[in-house]
Amino acid sequence: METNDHVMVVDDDAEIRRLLGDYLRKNGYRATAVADGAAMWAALARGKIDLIVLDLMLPGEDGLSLCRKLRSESDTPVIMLTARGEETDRVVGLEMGADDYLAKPFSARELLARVKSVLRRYRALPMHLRADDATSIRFSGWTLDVRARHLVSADGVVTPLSGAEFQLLRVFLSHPGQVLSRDQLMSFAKGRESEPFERTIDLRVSRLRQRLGDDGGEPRLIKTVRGQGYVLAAPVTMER
Amino acid sequence: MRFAPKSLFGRLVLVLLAGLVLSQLATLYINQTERDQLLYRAGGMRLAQQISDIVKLLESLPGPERRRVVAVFNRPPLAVTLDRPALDLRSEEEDADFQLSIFTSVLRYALGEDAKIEVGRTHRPSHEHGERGFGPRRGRFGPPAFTVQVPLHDGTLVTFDSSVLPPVGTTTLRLALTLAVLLATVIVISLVAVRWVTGPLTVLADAAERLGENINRPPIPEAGPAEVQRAARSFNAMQQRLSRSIAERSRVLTAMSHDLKTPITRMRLRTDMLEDDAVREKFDRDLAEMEQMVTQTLEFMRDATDTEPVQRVDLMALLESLQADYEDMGKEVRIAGRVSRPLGARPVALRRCVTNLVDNAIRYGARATIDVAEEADRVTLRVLDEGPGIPEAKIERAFEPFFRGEASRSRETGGFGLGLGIARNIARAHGGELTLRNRPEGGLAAILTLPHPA
Repeated sequence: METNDHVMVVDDDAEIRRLLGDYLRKNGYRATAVADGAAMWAALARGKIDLIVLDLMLPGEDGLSLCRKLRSESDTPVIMLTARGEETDRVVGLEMGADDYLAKPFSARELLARVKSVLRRYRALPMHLRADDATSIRFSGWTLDVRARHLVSADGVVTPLSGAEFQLLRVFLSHPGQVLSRDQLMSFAKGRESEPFERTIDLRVSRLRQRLGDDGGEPRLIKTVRGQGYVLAAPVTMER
Repeated sequence: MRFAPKSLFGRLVLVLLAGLVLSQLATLYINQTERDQLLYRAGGMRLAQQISDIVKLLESLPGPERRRVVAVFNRPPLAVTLDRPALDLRSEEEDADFQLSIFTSVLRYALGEDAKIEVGRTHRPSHEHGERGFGPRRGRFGPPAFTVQVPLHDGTLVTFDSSVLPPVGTTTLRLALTLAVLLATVIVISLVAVRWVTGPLTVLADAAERLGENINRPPIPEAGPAEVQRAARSFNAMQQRLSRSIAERSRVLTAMSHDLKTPITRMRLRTDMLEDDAVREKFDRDLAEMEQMVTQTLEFMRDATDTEPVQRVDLMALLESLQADYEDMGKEVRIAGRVSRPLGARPVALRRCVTNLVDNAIRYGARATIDVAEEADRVTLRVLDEGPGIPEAKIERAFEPFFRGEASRSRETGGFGLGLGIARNIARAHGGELTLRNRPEGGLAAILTLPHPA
């Protein structure tokens, strides 16, 4: 509970601002709550912020464009709050450089869990899950449709992915050729906390390989690096 | 009109054919009578020529010779006799008898203007002359049946009885054949023509049928006959009005559901501050229910305007990815059966459809089994649970929005909400169907069939 991380909440609803601020403070965070973009920039100028909770619908400049601007000058993690809850909005939020999203209505406990996991992930792998505005990502004959969250094979057959598979694949695609440790990969996986991490991540990688038809005796796409973790051994092309 | 064909196409063909047959019959009748008149005229000329030739021959012969010659010429259809008394051949109706006057003038022309010819209709039957089928016959346009008496210059009276002309040959078979060919031609032409005329109607009917699948389908072409064009225009206008009215309602409902999210969020945040766990849980449950309604309503409204393209989908990968998602949430989903070919479907919508069915199965029966069967032209997905099922009488009502199976149970389970309705809409938008059935071994089966042409 002892963190002292500084979280900023940007939301135009005063009541939600107040409630979130209170809840975060109660849980050991330093919290600043502001109503719009201008106040956000002012607060950022005043001192270090570890994480921003940003509402998508804001008066004046909206959350998406604020997030994009923010990304161009800092890598502070962002959790986007969206009221629409539609896949496209969620993904658009991620494309604009948000690290995670939360659909309204959400509970304070859910938000707290996301704040924790995003901060943990940020510290484990200090790069954002930003795919440079990509809506599709090509690698080794496959195309990942980011909005629909499924793979399309070279001959046009759609292969749906589970939430965990999608997350994992995005981590690999954001870091092609880079060896990722199990801990790093795990920080992105949202699963049951009770399971032993190593085992879970191995299982997920093997499932992902199966989806990609890469599950022979000698995987070529996602290779195992003994004692270190996994690496995606394929060139990746981002497309808008 | 009990035996009238059902389709407009059939009726039009019938009307055309009936008209054609009637007009053919009338033409046939007219031709037949014309033919008789022609034959009559030609026959009359020949007869007059023949009579004048015989008379001229007899004039040149002495008495006994005449008898022999007459015996030679006395052959059907012309009876020639020498010793008949003068007959009173003039009748009152002579002037009115056009045929007779023509024949007389032709005869006079052949014999010379000064010949004392007596021409008249023969009213007596032919067998008077003792030969069957040989004698004058009466009939309006029948072959000429005349008696002609011509005095030779020595006073001998030659009597000619014209009789039935030999038939020119039967044409009935040929006529029937001609008619058959004509009819066949017209049937083929009218089939093509009527299809051309009724084609746009078929397009219209198909469009009306498909409107149920997609209210926003492109307007039908306003082509074809004027009446059909008008119907197509009205149809397109109706579709537009329907679509607008649905869009209007959707906007209201969407805005309402959407705006409810902020107050619900506030309440949830406030609830999280509550110290009393029991009270907080109750609030949480109610809020979760409200939230579900709002999210499902938005999802339901979104379906109506979904424009996701149809793609080839690996159905097994879809089911296995769902299974993995549920496993991550600690829920058990089993998969039985296989599909070998990719399925033509909208992947995101189909996933939502199956998710809704599995959610229900898990909510009511703890775990779900998805049974897949691939047939020649379709795929059947049966999502089975081990729950209590639904009373048979209420099974169809489960598709209604926010239907609750059993009051006491659904208080805690939240009912089906809009999940089944959304799932059925998606199934139907794919040209498939979703039904519910209580399984004999207990539990509910949601049966989703999707077209899967080879």
